[in-house]
Amino acid sequence: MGDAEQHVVNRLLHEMRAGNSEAFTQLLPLVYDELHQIAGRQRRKWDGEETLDTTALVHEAYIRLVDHAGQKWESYPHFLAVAATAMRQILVDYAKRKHAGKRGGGLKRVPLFEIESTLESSASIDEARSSALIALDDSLRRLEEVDSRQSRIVECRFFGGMTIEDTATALGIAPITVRRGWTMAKSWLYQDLKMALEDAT
Amino acid sequence: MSELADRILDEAMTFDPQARTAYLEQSSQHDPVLRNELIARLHSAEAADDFFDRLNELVFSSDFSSEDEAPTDEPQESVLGDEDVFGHYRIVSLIGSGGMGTLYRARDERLDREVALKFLPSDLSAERKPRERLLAEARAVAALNHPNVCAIHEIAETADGRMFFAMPLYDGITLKEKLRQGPLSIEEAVSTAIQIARGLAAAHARGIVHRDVKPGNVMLSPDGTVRLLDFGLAIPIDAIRVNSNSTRGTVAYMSPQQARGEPIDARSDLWSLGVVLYEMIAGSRPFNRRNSAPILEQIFHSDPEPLSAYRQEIPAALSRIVKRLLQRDPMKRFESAEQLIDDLQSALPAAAGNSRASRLSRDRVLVLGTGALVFVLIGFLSWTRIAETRPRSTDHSTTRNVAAYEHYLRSMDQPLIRTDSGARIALDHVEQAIALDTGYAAAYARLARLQLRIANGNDPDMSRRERLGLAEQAAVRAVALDDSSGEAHAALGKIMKYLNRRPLAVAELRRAVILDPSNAEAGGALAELLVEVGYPYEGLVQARRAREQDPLSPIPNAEVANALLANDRCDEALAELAKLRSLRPPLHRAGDIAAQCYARKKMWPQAIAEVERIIPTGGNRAQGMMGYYLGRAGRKAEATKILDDLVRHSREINGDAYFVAMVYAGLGDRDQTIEWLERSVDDLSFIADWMPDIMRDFGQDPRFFPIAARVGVAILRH
Repeated sequence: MGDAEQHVVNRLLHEMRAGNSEAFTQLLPLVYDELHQIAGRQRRKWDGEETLDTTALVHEAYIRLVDHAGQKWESYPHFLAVAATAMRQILVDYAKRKHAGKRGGGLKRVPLFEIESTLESSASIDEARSSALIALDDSLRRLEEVDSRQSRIVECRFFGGMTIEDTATALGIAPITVRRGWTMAKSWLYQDLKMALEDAT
Repeated sequence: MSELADRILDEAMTFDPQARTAYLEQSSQHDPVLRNELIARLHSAEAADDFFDRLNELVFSSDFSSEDEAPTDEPQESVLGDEDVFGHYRIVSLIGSGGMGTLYRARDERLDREVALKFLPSDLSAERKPRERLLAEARAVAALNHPNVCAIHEIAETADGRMFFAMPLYDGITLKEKLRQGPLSIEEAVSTAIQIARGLAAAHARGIVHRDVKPGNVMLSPDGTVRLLDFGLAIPIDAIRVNSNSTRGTVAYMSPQQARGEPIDARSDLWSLGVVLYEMIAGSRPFNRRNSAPILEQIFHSDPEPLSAYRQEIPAALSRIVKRLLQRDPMKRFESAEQLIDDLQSALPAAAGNSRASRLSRDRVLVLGTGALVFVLIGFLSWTRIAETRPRSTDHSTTRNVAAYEHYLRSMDQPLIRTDSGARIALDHVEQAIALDTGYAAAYARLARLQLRIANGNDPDMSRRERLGLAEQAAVRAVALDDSSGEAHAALGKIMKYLNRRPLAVAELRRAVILDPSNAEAGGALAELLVEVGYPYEGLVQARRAREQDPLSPIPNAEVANALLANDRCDEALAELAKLRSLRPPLHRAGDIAAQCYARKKMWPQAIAEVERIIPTGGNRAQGMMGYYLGRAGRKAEATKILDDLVRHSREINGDAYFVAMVYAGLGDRDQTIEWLERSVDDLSFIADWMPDIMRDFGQDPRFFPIAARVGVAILRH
């Protein structure tokens, strides 16, 4: 990551703070690349039965991309919002690759509503995790079409592990809107996943 | 109002789960409608919350990490091990798990044999069903003791109150697994069907309907025996009602009656068996689209491909049997499983009954035998007692006061309410009926409808909001007096829609349709609403369903057209509407939809011509449409004139902002359109059916989102 890129990242973050939503789109590939590289080193974990520590990943990416000297933390929520989207893509990509590697390559649905049971049964955790991620991603895409703001809230809260307040700051909306949106989105996704699951069985 | 519900719910979610319901009760003391809405949304929110917690744990938490001491596939919820002994059963190992419980291999120490123990999930035994009923069902199945039905040795309880069942451990594979290898031989298919039918006959004879006959529930043992397993579709009727879009489980095997959530009887199982038999012969299902909604559409409307298209050698008698099993009208199916068995046995001239058939099947299974798995018996009993038919609310004769009844009848006079002044006369009558009998539910339902009618017309007496408030009061009262009245729920649903409380409107109209499936008008209203809230396909299915109830009634016919339009099937919609042309008096809504169809095709002159016809009866909505089309057609001066009239008018009386927004949309003025749309939400003139067009014109301007959220409609994807 050269100085020029860092400069661009800083500028884009600044624009995001000022409310320019275009900046988000431009920032995404940069953040994605960085996160992807860092995550690559932890692939071994993912390939085992462990999960990636996404919070640590994002943190590291932020420091590498933005904050050498420990200064610019006012941009952090905005960075997190971009990282959340990137993290969603990275996790889903991994999950899809897992599935592709499976015998036949077909997408085997693990019943999401029986997550505990899935763990008890023969399917490995990481198989269950992959299925869950792919199904959630599909569902989130459908939510995007219906209400893109809610889907952004889900990305921030779920994939970014962000607080209500950070999400509110990053998306430029009131915390109460985030809280309600989050509740509504969860209900929507839950129903949608249930329907998708019924269709698959 | 929905704003209020949002706020209360939001606050409730910050409390401990135990305190939430109490808080909702307290916040909605004087408003039963609000209360119901809140409770339903709370349940949904809590289930989703719980689900997301688990999902989060699965994806991000390393609690399951292999570095932990615990074996990796050990879930936190108590898994039983060989330490665990229940009575004379000692757990050996976990076999598998499904939504309806967990299955263990266990040793029955008293009889020295291996058994399967099935534990119900704790929430299931606790909440979904009263324990007594669950037990009664399980006992009924246990009492069957039939070779073609999975046996139950014992029903028992652990010391801490978890219920479990002891069952034999069967070897073999399910029919579902077998079908993955392709279709069965004709003989095998018939033999399997006969055995399933025998199991069903035994159950039906004891008043038990299986409700979930499908290949996954049919187990083929190496010795050639076919056993029908149970599993879990034991859904209380209430669940269908609330959980609108889904009947749980695989819809592909559901009878039309079951798919509609209607009471079902033994003949529903025969339909499902018909689907299974078809699949065994053809190797694919008769209703084979990929998603639930299209499958339902097929179940309700299309005839499956004839079996001879798959296999020429199929005996004609067998084709006829399958066809008869798959009759939409239960009266046309076999009367009983026994009758079916007779026919199946004689359908195979060469097979000499089933003894030969089952021998064949045994041979085949033995070939597979070496690889056969110990069957994981995941199901659980869903045998349910034949649904008691709900007592139908008998008519509206719920008054003994003859004078009140007479006034009520007069208020029902259809020609009267076509005009605003006539509607007021009808209102007067129904108010007198209520004055004479204040407990007269049907009269309140009528009053609600009339208030709504007046709100939608020209109302010099009060604002639209006030009038709709009166309508709501009356409907709430009607429901409170007679919760089993479809009319009352239909009225409440319609009013909720105009109050922009659409989720509740859907629930109420659905309830109305379930209570009285023959109410084609409520069915049509439900279809329209489904389209509005962003389910065009479900809307179409629902509209057709309503029309089936009353094929000649204009309203459901118009709703079919409306739903076709929403699915971008304009030409079909216009063809439907052409059939309504000859009606006298002409159906206003038909012209309205026709205009929208032409507009969708950008045929502005035709759209304008359609609107001209409905202008006399169309009020300001027709004016708004006209302004929109003129604007889109480039006749801006004329559109602007209509706009001026409407704006002036909207200042004079309440509740017309929406039509102003329409004209601004036609003129391409995005900011004004949005501003007037916002006002239309406030003055309750908002009508959702125009949103798709406006969204198409302006794309996804983020300012539409809060509007859509406030009125409970989806942002459409165009």
